[in-house]
Amino acid sequence: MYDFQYTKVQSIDDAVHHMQQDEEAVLLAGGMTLLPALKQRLAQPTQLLDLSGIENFSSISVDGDAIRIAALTTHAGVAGSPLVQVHIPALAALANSIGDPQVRNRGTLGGSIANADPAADYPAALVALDATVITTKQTIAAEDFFVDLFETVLESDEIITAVSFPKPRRAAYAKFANPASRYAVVGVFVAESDAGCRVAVTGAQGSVFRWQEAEAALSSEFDAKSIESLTLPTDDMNEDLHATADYRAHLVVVMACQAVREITG
Amino acid sequence: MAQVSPHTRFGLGAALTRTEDFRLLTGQGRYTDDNAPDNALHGFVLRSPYAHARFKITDLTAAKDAPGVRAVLCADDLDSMNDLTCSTLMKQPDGSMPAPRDIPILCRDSVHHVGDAIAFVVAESIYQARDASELIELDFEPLAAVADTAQALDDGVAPVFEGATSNLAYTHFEGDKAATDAAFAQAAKVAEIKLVNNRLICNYMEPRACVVQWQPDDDAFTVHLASQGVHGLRDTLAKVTNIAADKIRVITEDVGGGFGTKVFCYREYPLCMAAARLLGRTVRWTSDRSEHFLQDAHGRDNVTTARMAMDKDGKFLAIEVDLIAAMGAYLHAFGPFIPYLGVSMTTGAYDIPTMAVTTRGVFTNTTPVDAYRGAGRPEAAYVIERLVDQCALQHGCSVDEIRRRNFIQPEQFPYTTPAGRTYDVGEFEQHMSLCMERADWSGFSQRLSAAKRTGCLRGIGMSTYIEACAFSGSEPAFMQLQADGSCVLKIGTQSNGQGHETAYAQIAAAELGMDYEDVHVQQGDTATLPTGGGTGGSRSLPLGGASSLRAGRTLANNIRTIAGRELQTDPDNIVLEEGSAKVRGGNEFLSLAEIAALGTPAELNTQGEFQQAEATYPNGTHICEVDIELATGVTRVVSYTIVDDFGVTVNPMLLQGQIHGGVVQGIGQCLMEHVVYNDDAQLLSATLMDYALPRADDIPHFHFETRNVPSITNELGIKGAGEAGTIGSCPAVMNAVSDALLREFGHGQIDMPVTPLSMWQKLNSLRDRADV
Ligand SMILES: Cc1cc2nc3c(=O)[nH]c(=O)nc-3n(C[C@H](O)[C@H](O)[C@H](O)COP(=O)(O)OP(=O)(O)OC[C@H]3O[C@@H](n4cnc5c(N)ncnc54)[C@H](O)[C@@H]3O)c2cc1C
Repeated sequence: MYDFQYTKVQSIDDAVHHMQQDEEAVLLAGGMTLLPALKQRLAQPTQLLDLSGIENFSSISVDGDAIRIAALTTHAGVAGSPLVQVHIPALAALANSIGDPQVRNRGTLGGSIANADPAADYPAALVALDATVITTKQTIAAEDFFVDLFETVLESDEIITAVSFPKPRRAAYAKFANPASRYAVVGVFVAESDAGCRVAVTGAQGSVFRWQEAEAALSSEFDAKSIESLTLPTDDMNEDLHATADYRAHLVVVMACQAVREITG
Repeated sequence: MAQVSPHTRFGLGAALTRTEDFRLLTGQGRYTDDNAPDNALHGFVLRSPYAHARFKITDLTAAKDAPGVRAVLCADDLDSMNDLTCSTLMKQPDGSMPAPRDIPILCRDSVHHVGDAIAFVVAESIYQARDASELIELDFEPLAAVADTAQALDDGVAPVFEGATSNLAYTHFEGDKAATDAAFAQAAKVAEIKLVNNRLICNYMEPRACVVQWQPDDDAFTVHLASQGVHGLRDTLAKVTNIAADKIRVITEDVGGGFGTKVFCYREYPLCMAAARLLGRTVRWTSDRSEHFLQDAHGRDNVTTARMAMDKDGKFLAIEVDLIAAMGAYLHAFGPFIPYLGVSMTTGAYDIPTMAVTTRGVFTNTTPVDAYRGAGRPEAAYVIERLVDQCALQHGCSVDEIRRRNFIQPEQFPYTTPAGRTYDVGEFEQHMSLCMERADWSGFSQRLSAAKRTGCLRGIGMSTYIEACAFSGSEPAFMQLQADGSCVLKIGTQSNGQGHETAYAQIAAAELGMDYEDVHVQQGDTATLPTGGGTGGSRSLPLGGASSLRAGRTLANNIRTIAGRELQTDPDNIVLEEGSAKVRGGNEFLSLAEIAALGTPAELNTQGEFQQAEATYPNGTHICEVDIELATGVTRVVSYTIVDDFGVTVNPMLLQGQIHGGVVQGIGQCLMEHVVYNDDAQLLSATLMDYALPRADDIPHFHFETRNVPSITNELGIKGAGEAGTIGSCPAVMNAVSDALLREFGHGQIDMPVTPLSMWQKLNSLRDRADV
């Protein structure tokens, strides 16, 4: 860890102000991603702006046909929320599958999606549920929010304040966890709403993507059988110690079937 | 067999809870790092980012001038120090000794693995030390590197040491080549197997650390470090630093896991000594997990071909093994001894008349390899137990039948193996049969059908392992009756979490008729104990336990003598119970505190020492069942049954803990743990985000029981149990995996670790094969 200044900001405006003053300042939410990076000397910010002192930054509320979750809500907060459990149980289950209890009690929704790790779980839920990301500068569809590997549309002085998740008719998330880190080697979120069926895949490529072929197949018949013999091109698939491109492509199908079966019972 | 104490309430066999747990579980443990005073300086080792390179340090000024920096040490500053040497070079077939490849405390002009040490920065804080290390100016000239054990000897592979003609560290032969060749020539059948024993990183919870104080008055050192025995480390430190051993006091308090890997002297200890003397300040160093992955000795990493000659009845005639053992970039302390120890157990529990085993130690640009729980014996058990299954396949009989036909029979003991080991006792068939019954071996086909309905293959496998423990030697125990009537027991082994404080105390306390919590076990200080052999090879209880019993028994006799003298009765008339010395059948008694006031120093201080002539040989059967999910390739251990023969059980609860932990490590090796280097010998599995350790939810319930046949080599009949879990488990798990594949495809060979990816790939290739 290199030397840095620590500032506990009082409000979102206060945080934005600091970010405008100091381009090298970074926001600190749960610290579950940022602090390991600092410890390994992979990042050298001048200043950490700790968001934990901001009031009402971790609330969960009903917002018309959607559930609105403030950015600083922890994974454990999402997993344990009666509102989320009732209206989007698949999202509560996803949050409960992240990392371990320590990570779930510190890590936050905002931190996770700002970081846009290709193996993170939330992006699949956001895209499949057609969620909206609310920031200090814009309100943007999740699909447009995630750009690439560790890259979002966020500007350097922009803060995520909340995510609004429309309630689906039914949904499920199936994850093939990395045996070491338990991040998603592949995670598939399947959601059905009045607008149709969406299938979002995380872990497999640089960024979350919609698997449109599966969406089409499921729209004509919502059954695992409709997608089990589909295949995905391997060209853009990630490769690492735990999964080759062809294995990942295969796992997308298996996990998608598993999610669908969980819904159809 | 020795007398087992009649006082079983506290003695051998009692399932007592651990006296150390209250301390350890309430945050009162004292680990090495806890000994550092607030004003201690922090050392940081600058390590090589390259696997193989020449380098020059071009400028140290900026680093030395950096805030808080007190010293920057390089190889040139350590002229008075010697390298870390290998103490176990093996004689080669031509009678010559191989060239040593010692580990420099700091590299002078070339580095040979990622993490090799280049400089030592000492500063007021660890952050300042790390910041300054980045200011050291270096010129690297990267060289070609090799990481793969199987390829290390190939033509054209870059030598790990410039100028060397090959990466062969040494060749060693054990056995009788002519007799083995003759047996193979007349064999009715030959079974062959090729195996990779994957490289592991021993992940103890407490990383290594040291804290060094220097006393200018007498130029003496106090070195706190995390070890498996302080005396051996003190002697090595004396050799390395050229400082007399009596000027170095080594202290180890609580240790959070050692597994063999903490036995050794590592570079940071002499570096902290040099810095402490140079600066006249206490210097501390604590490894972080990333550093640990690069510097602490790795384990396993063998590539083996093994063949068995059989007659027409499936009786084994001879075994031939070709073993390539990775040494890493240097010869580590026990490096070549580890495969040798395994080789000495080549024939396992079987009556095999002759053997021929060739070991080639090879250098690669990787972290050196040394002892890791089992140290060669897991590798050996893996080879023989996988090969025996292959023999069954080849011969066309069941895996239990091939074992029955070839086990050493009870009437053959004492039995001397072709490797020269003499087994004292053993009832192999009996524990195998019992374990099969417990595991419901005969009901397997129903479970197989049930698994199939859920999209899984299921396999069942066993291992009937034997291993060697304790070895010849002794570990004396010293007891003292204290003024308050409690006892101190000093012994030169080192608990790393196994529960020594409880185990020794319960053995000695039984002799003294006192509560085991009143016997305080002390270890880990060269100032208070003159010698000690340390903990390793599961020796602590077989040797130290027997010595504790003797020390306790002598002290008990002395107490009876003192009481008899005082109460004017025959010592034989005195019984020791409930912490006092009582006249048999009467009301008179003396408390042990009163005894302590009456006894002479010679009476109150006793020593017990049991000398053992041979190793002891724990053995047992492990049976494992696995499910392999066809859709994903995920392999899960779904059932696990163990029947072990540990001779005599000291404390069933401690024993169970040892076995559970050991089996989990074995399952980890089989399904998850894997050190992966890329072609440039960069470590890819460099953190716990990629190096997968088993967790509770990866592990099923275990059924464990003992079927003990007391050792006649050991005074208490104890055989040792610290490593058995890791030794028995890998072959059982992998035989089960192989069985599942065999049943489905007729082919079953796959190497550890069976990750979801490797199994998925295997399933694909087996399906392709089936299609052809
Ligand atoms: C052992 C371990 C296992 C894990 N396993 C999983 C897993 O299985 N699945 C998974 O999805 N994740 C996993 N994670 C990651 C975890 O979910 C992190 O918590 C998350 O990625 C980051 O959230 P955080 O609140 O800790 O953010 P921080 O680490 O505090 O910040 C991360 C980044 O986001 C920025 N940021 C934070 N909040 C905001 C905001 N409101 N607006 C704009 N930028 C912001 C920060 O500046 C920083 O750049 C794991 C982490 C660990 C350590």
